[in-house]
Amino acid sequence: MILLLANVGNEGDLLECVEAGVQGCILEKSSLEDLKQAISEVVAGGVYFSPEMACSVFRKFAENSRNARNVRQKPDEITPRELEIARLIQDGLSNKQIASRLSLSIYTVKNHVHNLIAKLDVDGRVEAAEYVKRHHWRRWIDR
Amino acid sequence: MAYAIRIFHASLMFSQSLVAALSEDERFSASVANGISANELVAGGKLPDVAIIDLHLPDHLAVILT
Repeated sequence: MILLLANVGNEGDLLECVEAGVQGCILEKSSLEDLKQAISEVVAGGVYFSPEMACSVFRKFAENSRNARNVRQKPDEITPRELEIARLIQDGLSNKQIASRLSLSIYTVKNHVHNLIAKLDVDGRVEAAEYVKRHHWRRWIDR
Repeated sequence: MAYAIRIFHASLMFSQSLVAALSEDERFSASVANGISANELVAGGKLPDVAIIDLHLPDHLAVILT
């Protein structure tokens, strides 16, 4: 059984731990009695979360659910090639390197990047790549 | 029989104070795990009933959760 000691603000890490199977999480500032209760709960096969952490987990869960909806709401006009290029931008490749990787001309790559930026209404290639990553669209590339 | 509790915390002082506090309750047998690597703990089959782990010790979390 694993009980985490955490502080509010670690919601991202915490959610990953929950997915991995921790049984509880308690704030470091919690009282000794709360800690004892948490231990008792987890050894009895239950789970325990400090109320603040439970709120954080729910908020993060809701955010992830919204992002998952965004996955389904990927605009149809974003092409697989544009997503592929966004992934390569995210990996740190320059347009020239992307062109070489995909056997395209630099002008074609620039055109794809320009179109992607316009469709997403973002300020630049890096922001476009971040946008694609944030909305989990990269997984569409493999489909 | 007391539950075996091991404390993995970045601060040894914090771990020791927690052990001292828990040890006043006969239901718990707590000890500090500072200085023990997660691999060592798992490989040695020394997993406690409850491992209390500092969320800021990702190496320990990664090993124990896998």
